[in-house]
Amino acid sequence: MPKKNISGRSLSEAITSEDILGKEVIDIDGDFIGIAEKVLINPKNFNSLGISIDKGFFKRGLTIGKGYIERVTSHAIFLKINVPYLLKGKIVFDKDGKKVGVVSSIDLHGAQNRIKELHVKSQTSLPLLKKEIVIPNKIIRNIGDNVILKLTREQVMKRLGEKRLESA
Amino acid sequence: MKNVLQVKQHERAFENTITLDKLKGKHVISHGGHVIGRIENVRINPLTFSLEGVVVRCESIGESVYIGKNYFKSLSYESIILKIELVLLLKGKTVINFNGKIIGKVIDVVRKGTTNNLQGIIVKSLWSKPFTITRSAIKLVGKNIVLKSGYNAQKKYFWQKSI
Repeated sequence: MPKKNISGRSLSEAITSEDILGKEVIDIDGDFIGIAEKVLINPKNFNSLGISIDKGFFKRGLTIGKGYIERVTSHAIFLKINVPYLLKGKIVFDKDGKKVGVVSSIDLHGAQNRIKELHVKSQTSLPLLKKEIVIPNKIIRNIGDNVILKLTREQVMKRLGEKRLESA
Repeated sequence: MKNVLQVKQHERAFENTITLDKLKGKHVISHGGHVIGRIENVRINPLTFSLEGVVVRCESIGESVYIGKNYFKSLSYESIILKIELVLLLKGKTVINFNGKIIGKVIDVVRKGTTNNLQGIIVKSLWSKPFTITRSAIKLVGKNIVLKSGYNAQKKYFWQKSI
């Protein structure tokens, strides 16, 4: 039996939280990110703000703004972005394909989906010599399965050395 | 670098060349940074004496793959970076339809000849017979494969007779 409607407009095309919760969230690369566990709503105007994603038992949750959601379908929620936080643990190669290190953390521009810089732990056999390199977004050539830089490892280290001198 | 005497005409200077045997065992990395495998050997054209390609051991598909030099973006003593994503590595990826439903896994890739141009994928789910999805039905290829909205293949289960 059709429900009575006193909203003042047709709600036939609206979706409910049940259509969102528990669904897989898939990024622009087709990667499964997690499961939608909450719908975030603005308490003043009741507009939806985004969704909260459960990434698994040992991983921290993630909140995605509604502007980054492409579509909600019968089986999943598709995003129109790659989630930069998933870069953690990826290998960073220089221009020549030499391994620079592994991404340890990511800095974004505020809460936007734009990478500001990557913190990369350089890989050495001696744990005491392990150091963190900060890679600014402008020297990243490509991000896919891993990260490829526009410069060689030596050029990156030189740049970082110059920056340190400037700030001193 | 050791200084050597040079006997040459119009060829590149010794300093601007690289030793092929040093490439053996180095990584081959795709455009997106995926480590495809290690170089098994370097192939030379016996007529022109120029490098034609490399044979790479791809552990993920358990096979050796010969990659032509036209797909190289850069070559150094560290590795070879390609300008492509190898479509052969789509094997094993999950195929999702437009609504996010998993419809199977890629069991084989159909290419245009021996090139890296994808023509289609052969997909199989647990209970279905293998079926082909053409390139035109694919929306995106990334970590997984997402199909376009119009795709509506008729699934054939193993107990159904093939026509």
